Amino acid sequence: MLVDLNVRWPQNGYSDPVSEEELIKLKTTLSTLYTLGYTHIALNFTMNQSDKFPNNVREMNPMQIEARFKDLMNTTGLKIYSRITLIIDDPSKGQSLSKISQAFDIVAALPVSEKGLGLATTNLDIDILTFNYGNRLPTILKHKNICNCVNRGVKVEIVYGYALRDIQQRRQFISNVRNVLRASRLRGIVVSSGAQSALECRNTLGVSSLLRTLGLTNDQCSRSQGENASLVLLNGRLRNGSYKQVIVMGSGDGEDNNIVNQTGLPSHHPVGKRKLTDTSVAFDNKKAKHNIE
Amino acid sequence: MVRLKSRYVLFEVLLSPHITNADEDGETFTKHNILLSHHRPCPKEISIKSLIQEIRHSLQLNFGDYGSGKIGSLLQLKYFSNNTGTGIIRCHREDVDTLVASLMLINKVGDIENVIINPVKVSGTIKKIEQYSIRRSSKLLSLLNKSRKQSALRVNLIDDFATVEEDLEDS
Repeated sequence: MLVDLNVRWPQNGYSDPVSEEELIKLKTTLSTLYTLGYTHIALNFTMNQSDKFPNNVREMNPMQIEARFKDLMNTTGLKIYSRITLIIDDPSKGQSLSKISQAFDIVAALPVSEKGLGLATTNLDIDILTFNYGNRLPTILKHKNICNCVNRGVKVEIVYGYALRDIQQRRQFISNVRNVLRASRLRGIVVSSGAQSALECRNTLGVSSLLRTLGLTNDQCSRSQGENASLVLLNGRLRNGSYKQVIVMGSGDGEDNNIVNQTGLPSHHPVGKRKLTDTSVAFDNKKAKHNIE
Repeated sequence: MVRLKSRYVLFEVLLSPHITNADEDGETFTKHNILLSHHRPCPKEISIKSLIQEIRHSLQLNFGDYGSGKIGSLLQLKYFSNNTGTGIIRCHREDVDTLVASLMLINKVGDIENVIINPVKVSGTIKKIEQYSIRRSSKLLSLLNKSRKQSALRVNLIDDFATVEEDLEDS
């Protein structure tokens, strides 16, 4: 299975509506990703943390994935998820994450100041830590901060779309990636496209060889788009749909409660760790043991 | 004397997709359309010459004099077909990562903008990569045929029901 955790959702805030053209463009991007072999894709909605969110949880997610992409998901077998990225500047202005995270499958943080980075690495209940690779990083990253964060289960994201846009951003991208790789000690890295159009998608062979030239090890390259990324998906969805992140009821291959990461078409071989039968239980072994004790 | 070790890279040129033509049911994003719009035949302007020029340019831009000199010492475009848009490049074994990375960073070929150069496979012998390419193309072709047949089958089924209803009315 191949996962792309970052395809830009064409909307900057709740106020501006999505036009039909932009939706078609997005669908074209998704179909290009499908041709390149991706199976699981998350649409990324970026917001400032200090901006106003709607009060109702139902209005919080503007994507309506089921309604808009159902035909595409059926014909291609893609799985599409929703993700929110919060730009964290001043921690004091932020709102509680618990409400926001109910509406989205994955929650990511993008710190743009030193304080914001401190908050994101220590306290926030997020799945992904990401940076703006086109600009300078907010501070010098420290091993301790990032490794703590990775040990908690948060993954650090590298967005290769910046390397494809212009020369200035590419240069910044390379130095930022070097910094992130150094600070994270090559652990818990996730790679995604951040594609704004169909032409910013690349397949794994290209991406992993780019990262290999930047200093990521061979095994981490393949893991960053497969195993690690699927862990993020699993973790994010367990947060909302499970009891204490451990137990889920429902069939693994059902339409409504699809927790395990299986590919959409039955002809593909199942990629989840084990095939779940009806009324089965998804376990996270460590936590389950802990709870029993 | 140690043999010269080289690698062959199979790549394909994907042109920017314009998925506009709807099929009989009015659906635009069918599997058939998606696959067809990505694998269009390349225009004449994309040739062995323009491709190798673009690759050298990308190497110079991204890896500088050192990179382009090092990789350029053994860089050949062995094969390129405009009909399928696939080609094979030969390079030194140590330089394959850099070459693939520079392929990935290409956005245009000559005057044609909006192009993805999609590296598909790396292999040590040209024979295996040819075999892989043939297998891959035939797989794609059968997938296309299958998806077209499926939509045709759907139309047939609808036609059948129509005739059954008419018969009932007659009797």
